[in-house]
Amino acid sequence: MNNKKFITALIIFACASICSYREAHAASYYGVYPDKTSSYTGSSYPISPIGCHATGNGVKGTYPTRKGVILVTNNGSIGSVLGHAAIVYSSGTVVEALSSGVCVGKNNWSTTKSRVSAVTVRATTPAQDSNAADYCKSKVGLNYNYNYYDMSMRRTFYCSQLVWAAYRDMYAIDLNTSAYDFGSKRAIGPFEFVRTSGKTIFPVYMKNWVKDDVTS
Amino acid sequence: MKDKGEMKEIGDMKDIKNNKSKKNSKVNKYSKNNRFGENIIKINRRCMYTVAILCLVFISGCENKKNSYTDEYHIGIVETTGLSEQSFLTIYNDKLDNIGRVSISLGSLGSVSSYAKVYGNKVFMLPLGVTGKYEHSGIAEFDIATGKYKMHELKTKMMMDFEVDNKYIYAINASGSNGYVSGIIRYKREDGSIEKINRQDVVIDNIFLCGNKLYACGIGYDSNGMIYSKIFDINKNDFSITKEIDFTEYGIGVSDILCYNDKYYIALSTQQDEGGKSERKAESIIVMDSNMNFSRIRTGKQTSQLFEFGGEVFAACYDRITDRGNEIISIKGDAVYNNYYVDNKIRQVEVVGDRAVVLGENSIDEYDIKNSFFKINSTLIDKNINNKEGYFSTFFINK
Repeated sequence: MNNKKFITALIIFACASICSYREAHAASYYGVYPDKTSSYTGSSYPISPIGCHATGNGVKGTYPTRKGVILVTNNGSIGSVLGHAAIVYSSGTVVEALSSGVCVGKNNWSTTKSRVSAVTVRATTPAQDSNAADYCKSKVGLNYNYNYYDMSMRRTFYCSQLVWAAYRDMYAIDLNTSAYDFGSKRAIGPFEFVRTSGKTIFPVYMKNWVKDDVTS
Repeated sequence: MKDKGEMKEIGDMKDIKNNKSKKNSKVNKYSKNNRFGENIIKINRRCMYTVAILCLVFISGCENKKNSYTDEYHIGIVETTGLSEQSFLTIYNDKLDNIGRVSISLGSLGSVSSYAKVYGNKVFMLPLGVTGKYEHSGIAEFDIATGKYKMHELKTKMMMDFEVDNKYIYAINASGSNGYVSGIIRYKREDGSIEKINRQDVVIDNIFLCGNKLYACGIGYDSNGMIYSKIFDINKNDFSITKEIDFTEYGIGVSDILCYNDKYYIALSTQQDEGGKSERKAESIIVMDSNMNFSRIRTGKQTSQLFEFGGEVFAACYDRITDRGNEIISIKGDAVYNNYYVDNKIRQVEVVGDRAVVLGENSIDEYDIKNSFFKINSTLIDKNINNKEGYFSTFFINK
């Protein structure tokens, strides 16, 4: 019996180690984690990944309904911004910036987008994520920002700028990376939310996600 | 204010009949048998080809006018994508044989959150357009018989849901204007005139037409971050909100409302949790009588659609958010009476005769309701959008 327990623990440890190793070293895998619970206090490294997401194939994790989870898809583009991002507002709705402006849409990406990644910010609590969603919702009706390098603009928003601004303005968390920056000019693309995996955010759901897309 | 939509051809009907190629081959044989010298042959061939082309044009014209496919037309399934202005309507007969296809130049046409609505011989669908590039601001009306559509221009982008009756299209959106978050729009089909009710406090995300009643449902968060839920009772005569029902105690999201036997059955998608600061899946249906008395039916499952058959109320157990669920339950009194399992996810279910037609992820299945939802027919839906980006969004039945 003890041997069985030991072997089971060994297998779990091995799986977790492989996932962590793959996330850290292999270009084709992400660790996917359970979503935050109400007791999550932020900043600490989350519990062991629930599995690895292999490149471009299948679903890992549970599609999010929690207010404040960030959704990213590589379906489509707006102007020169590849992909799209939104934040869950309620289980059935998301707040997003489309070419017609900031609006509330249906949270139906699990059936309407072929590739989806859902991520959450490592340092924030669920209540803070909820506040970030409220920040985005307060911008409903504002126009689309076509000047992607004007991230400081707060009268207009593009999709990833809206989500970035919520965490930047409310909690001084910068989700931007250098991926789209050009000299002193800074821009944020939807894939950057996933690119910071392991550092600032962690994925809670992935569907057919291709890691190479992050750098495209 | 009066914007009349223009009728547009949807596109080519394909694979309906193979008569064209057969007739073409007959003409070619005939021309080969005429040998009166090379020049005459050349002239004859030209004549024959011209005649053949004219025949083809005539035949195809006859086919469109005749609309032979409408005799067999049973189910129309919509395949769409959010990446381009491209959708397909695939037509199946009552044996679930593919009998035709219509190409439609609209993106994101219909979804599990906004099914096609049939009114008379017209089908109405919500096209959202191409994600982030172009958002449509109208509802598409398809003529089942002719294969043409027109757009009803509601001048409202990012609509989330709609309903249709003999006079009007009712729609809701939450894209904001002049400080308002949500709008309920009434569009007169006859002359295209538009009326709007604006709301600042709630995000209205569903609208239901139940007999003579029109209900819009919305959610919001108060200053303490507590969720609340409201159902708006809308007077269809003067298009005004007559009653606001705070529904928070019973649920947050409403996925369907069925009016049957002077009672309203309300399927809930979520309800409040942790003191109202978050949501959890609702596993109940609320019954409201005409005196606004409520009772709760514990289903133990998330329900998405309600329908009535043979004096019984049924609910499809499917979670539209997470795309899971393949169970149908029947309700008697205040309790679940029976459970039935089907083979695929119930993305949409429609009843025709004593059959329940279920749209799954990649298939359409028919079940005999009287015979405990025994599967009687099934077919894999033919895909027209070749990459992974296409999906089956909704279907309708030509009853």
